[in-house]
Amino acid sequence: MSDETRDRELERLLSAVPAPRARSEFRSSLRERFLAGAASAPEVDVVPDERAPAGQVRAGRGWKPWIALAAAAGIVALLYFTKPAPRYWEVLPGSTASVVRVNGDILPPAETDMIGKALNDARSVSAEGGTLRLAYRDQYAIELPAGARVDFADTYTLAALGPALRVVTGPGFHGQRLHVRSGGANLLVTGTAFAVDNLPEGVCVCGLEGRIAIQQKGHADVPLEGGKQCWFPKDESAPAWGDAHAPHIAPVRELEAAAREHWRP
Amino acid sequence: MRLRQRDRAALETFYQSYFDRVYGYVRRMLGDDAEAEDVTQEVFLNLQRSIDTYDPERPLSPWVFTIATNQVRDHWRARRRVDPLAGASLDDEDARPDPPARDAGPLPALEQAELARTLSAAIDELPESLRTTLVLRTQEGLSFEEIARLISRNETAVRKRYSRALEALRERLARLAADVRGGGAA
Repeated sequence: MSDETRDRELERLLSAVPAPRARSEFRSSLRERFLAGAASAPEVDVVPDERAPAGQVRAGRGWKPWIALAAAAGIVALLYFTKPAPRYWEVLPGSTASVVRVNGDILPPAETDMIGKALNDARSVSAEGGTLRLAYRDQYAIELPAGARVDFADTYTLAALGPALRVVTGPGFHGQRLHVRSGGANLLVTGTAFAVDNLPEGVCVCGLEGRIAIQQKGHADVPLEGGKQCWFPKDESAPAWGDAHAPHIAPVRELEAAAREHWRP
Repeated sequence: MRLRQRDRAALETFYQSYFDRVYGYVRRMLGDDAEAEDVTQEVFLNLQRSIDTYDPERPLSPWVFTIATNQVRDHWRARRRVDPLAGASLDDEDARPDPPARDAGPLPALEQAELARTLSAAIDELPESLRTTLVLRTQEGLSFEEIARLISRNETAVRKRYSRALEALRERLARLAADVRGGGAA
């Protein structure tokens, strides 16, 4: 057996070694402390004003430099505000949602530019009355079926709420990692297409292609290959494995086709 | 982004996504539950204090694990001040010569659970610098380049550490397989 083959085999085994788990009391008490800072923390640190040494205080202040400075600042502000906002998020064709909410605010589904801009600094997006397909640059595309919501910690850290979330990574995703949490499952994605379906009895993760590292509370991280399914029961008992569920995979294929068309150079 | 603005929902999602990973990493590096809790707490409070330094255009994981690794290092330094014999430096591993190449043969056919336990114990026994590289690579999925930046080493040194870590693990598994075979024959 070659060194490379042995390394790959060992790496596969290592990725399945369970990580040490914390006490739930510690987890929840630290959570309280961590989140307590959220409301009280100032958005901008306040730096105490320091008195300048006497020798550095200017004796006189002409008004001309101030006018020039104000004019320059005005030009900079004008350029800044008239610059078109970067289009990071875009609504993909095939979206049928009748209501789109970004940060809880309802936006008209036909106003795709408005939705895209609002998503640039969003903490949540949800779809009602139909599906919503979104692409983040050429990095990844997601599909929210009716009733689904996604919360963002940052662009690459999502929580999937509601019935389901379908994800396809794009040509620019290489080297990135996407973190998706749903129910008791944490998914670490390094380049793949998959569906997360939140059912009453548990969470179903179906891989279409690529590889996903899956983590469930109290269980080892496990890789999910394309064409396979991992089932996480709500009672947090051990995950079950099988072949990907066709009805869950079909919408991922459709999303992938729409996203590929969108990303085509 | 919302995380930088310390938005509560964004922090909640962040915490739920990263708590297990950070605790698992810190616990793996320190080998002690109580110390792991202390350091994990410091990491999260530090993350919150430093959140302004995070660039939302870059992946989050390397930033999180840079802070976690620095906190672990600080803890080791403090530990060594108390007990100078405790723990080797993260940095002194590069000075060691490479172990001679050995063909440890195919991995032993152990039961999965037993294998996971054995691997887990073997990881814990690795020198700290090898363990850092191995855990960040295999369990956190960081690239060699990201790990290199994170521990202030060049990428070649990191790849070398990673190879040494795999080699050390293979040797341990081979020893175990020999023990199992020996026990079975007796």
